[in-house]
Amino acid sequence: MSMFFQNPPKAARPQRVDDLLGNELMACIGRLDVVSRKIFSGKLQGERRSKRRGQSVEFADFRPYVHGDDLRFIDWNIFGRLDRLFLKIFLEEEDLSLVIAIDTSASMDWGDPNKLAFAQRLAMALGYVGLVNHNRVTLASFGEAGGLRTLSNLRGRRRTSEMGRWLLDLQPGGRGTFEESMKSLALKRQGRGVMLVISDFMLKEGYEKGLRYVAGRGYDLWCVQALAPQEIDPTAHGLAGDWRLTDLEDRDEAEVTATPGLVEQYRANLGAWCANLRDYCVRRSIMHLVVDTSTDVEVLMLEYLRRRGLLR
Amino acid sequence: MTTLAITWMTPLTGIVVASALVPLLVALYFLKLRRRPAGVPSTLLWKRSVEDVRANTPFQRLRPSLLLFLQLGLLAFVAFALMQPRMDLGLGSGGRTVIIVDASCSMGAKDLDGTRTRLDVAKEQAKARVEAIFAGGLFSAAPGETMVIAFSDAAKVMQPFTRSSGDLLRAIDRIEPTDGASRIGDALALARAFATVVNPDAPGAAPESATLELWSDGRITDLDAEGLRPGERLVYHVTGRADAANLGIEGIAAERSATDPGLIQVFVTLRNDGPDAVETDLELFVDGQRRAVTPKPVRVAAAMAGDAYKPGSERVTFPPFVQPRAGVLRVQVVRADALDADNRAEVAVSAPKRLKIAAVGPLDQFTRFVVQSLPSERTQQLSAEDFAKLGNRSDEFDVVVAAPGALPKAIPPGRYLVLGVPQGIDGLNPYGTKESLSVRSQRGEHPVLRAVNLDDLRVSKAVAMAPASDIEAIVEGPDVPLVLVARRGPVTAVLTAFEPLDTNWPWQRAFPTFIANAVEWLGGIDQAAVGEEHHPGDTLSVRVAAGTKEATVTMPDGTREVIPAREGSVTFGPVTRAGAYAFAWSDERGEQRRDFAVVPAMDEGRLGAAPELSVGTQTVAGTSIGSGTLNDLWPWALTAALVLLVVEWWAYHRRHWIRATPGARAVRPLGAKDALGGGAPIMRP
Repeated sequence: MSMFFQNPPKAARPQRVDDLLGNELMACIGRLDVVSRKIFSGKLQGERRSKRRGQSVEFADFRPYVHGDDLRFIDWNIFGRLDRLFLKIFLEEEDLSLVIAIDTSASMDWGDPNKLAFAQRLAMALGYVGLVNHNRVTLASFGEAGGLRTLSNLRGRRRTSEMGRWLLDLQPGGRGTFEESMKSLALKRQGRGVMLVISDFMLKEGYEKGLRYVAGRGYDLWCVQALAPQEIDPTAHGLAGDWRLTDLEDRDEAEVTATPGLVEQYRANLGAWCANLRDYCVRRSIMHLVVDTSTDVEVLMLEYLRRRGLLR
Repeated sequence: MTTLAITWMTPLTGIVVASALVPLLVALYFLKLRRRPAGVPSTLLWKRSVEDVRANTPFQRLRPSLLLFLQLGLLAFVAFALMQPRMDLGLGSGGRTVIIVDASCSMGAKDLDGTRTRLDVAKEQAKARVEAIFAGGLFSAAPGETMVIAFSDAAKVMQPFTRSSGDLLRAIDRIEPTDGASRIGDALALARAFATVVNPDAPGAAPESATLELWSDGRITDLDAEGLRPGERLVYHVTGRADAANLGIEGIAAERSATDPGLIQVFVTLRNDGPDAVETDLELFVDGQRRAVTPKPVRVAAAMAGDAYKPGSERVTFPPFVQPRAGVLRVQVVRADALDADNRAEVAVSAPKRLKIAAVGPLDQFTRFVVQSLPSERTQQLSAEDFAKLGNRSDEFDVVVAAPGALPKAIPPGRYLVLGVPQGIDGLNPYGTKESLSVRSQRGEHPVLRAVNLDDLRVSKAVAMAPASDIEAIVEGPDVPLVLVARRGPVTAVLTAFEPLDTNWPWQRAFPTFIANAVEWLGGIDQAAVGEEHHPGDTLSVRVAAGTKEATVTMPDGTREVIPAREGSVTFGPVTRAGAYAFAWSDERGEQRRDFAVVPAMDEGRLGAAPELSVGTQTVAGTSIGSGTLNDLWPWALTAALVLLVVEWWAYHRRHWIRATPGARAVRPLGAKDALGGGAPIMRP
């Protein structure tokens, strides 16, 4: 039995970019692409089909010409046959904004495997997928004392190492408010796309207001709830007897005696907490998934996220 | 039923233990509160869980926990120890206690540790008991009154009821060993007399009884005649070993030869109370000088155990030897055993002596013939007037055989055989005459009636008397005494209620035998007839000449005591120890000396302590406690509590011992869905 609680290991976070994204993983995920559930418009004619019709090679429909339309899109062949002006409508292919927000609060620096390290690796892998597909990748970290930190508008494979260094520089600690961070992130929105919020969502002030800022603004929002195995099943990792538990963020203390009944109640509450977050997400068309940090990132991306439709 | 008295026996020990235990418990208390710290991402769910558990279960279900049971056991033992229970069968708080100590001969046995007698041990235990009663207790009420009684053949109040432990301890110290028998009747009567308190305000209420605490070996002769009264409680502290064996002298007698009074012969009866037959030599000492030894060891059979207990017995007769003088003969058992007192026995013999007999008054021819034919130094016929003229000088005769009307109203000191009812003896209370009488009963064991058969005695006329209680009737007819022994100060008389000529007695063989017995008995009554036994509890008396003021008594241990003479005699006693007692006094005839020998009481030779007492119809089980402190249970309870404390300490820490397992792989958690009870879709590839 793992004795995490009696003898917690020192957090082993990645020190190099290779620790975040190894060559093998890079090779595996290099052919993936980020998928949005919608077709979004972007600044550039990218590789995306957008519901916004515009200039592209893919014909979408015709519509009658109205005054002011661009004469370049009039289908003159139809005019020749029907003597009426119709306008050709094309699907506009746009680039995709991929925003990855990582919770770096103190609560994430816990667990074995460490939750923050897991979030870093997952963000690096997803960001790499975005970069190689010429998506506009934005990384953000929240929860630190300094508030929201961002690395915006990365595009192209060559920005991979820059993204990696930024991720490596993330330091856990502090207790920023989730709501303010999400508000700031929503205001900095550029274009539309996919947003992933990687956090444990153990927020005493609640996650509802914060998610409300980033949901419904055109983002295809994903909430990735990362939980350490020790959170999921404390007794299997040495939590037995009398303990004084200290909240890593606000130093609040809870004295508990880890009786089977109490642990069972804790697990029920954890399940209810996760279920509430899932219900909240479902009601707002937010994708929610709980991830055990012991899960391998490669497996997560190649199998699970593909099945859930985030990647293809 | 056992009463648990709450007493604080050793306050210093309690303080020491408390000072050691309380800090330990306090430390344990704090240490138990020290929880192991651990950081968690959020205490949100934990606090909510704790609240949920508390909210949903107002009383936590009692879970089987080793720590819980250990702590409960510890508390139980501590509480038990705090109550300071005792198993001493002692009195309840505030009750009255009578401490009764057996000081009989058998309590002198040194069978417990070889150095101390049973009485020494009993006294120590009794003193410890007193200290326990009066030591006070944390929760005890005021100690009850206590008294001390010692008994052997007679009981003696050593200390009446008191609350002074010092007086009680000193009273116990004053208890002296005796060589007497164990008779508890007087002790119980005394205890009841002192202990029974009748509340005058509630005449109908039952009197308050006390607890009787008896230290004895249980060999008490009169237990069958006693009984415990309602509410009375007897606690029997067994003192002595049940398997103690003993060989001793049960009886000793010496007789001078009838033909050659200078020769004396000694008879000894040995008694064996052991399970095995034993052999021993006997030594005979005369006035401290060894005179004879048994030619070969005497074998005494083993005692027969069981309900029909019968000690082994053997009679030993020493060959006659010349002893023309008075002296003290002592027989000593050479073999040593637990009880020394019965390994020796003394008998005092007087110098051979012939009697001076006076025949006073008109005796009938039969009586006169018998008297004249008795062996004597001198037999003188005196008229009533001549005898009256002698006055106090009449004591030159050892025995006076008188006709009833020949004695003066003021009978001078002396010993008289009167065949009829004289006038000068008080307490006879004649009230008429009876006719045609025969003998209903006779005390055959009395020396006067030895070999006297009165079955065929017919009395045509006798004086009817209602004698006082101190006048002994040794032959009784229907409703009236026929032969009496009267003691009135210096006067001792054997008298008959009839005259010989009013009976058919003179024609019977019993008549001369009776007269001879009576003359010999009367003549030797202050001469310590050879072979006469005295036992502890007896009173020794010697007749001295008129005008003698005092006599000095030398006791077996050599101490001396001066006893004043009263009414022509010196009386000492009752004696408590066996051995030779010597009376010495001076009169006009010069220095006089008289020896007495006191032998230990019979039936004290059985040393095996009785495990229980049968008092009347009740059986009292004995308690064999070593001392007053061994019966405390609280040290054992405290020790058990300390042991439980250590075990509890070990069990508590065992839960937090972390075994280092180098290279141990973390066990992969349970399926996330399972871990969360199926509540949330936790991803698991």
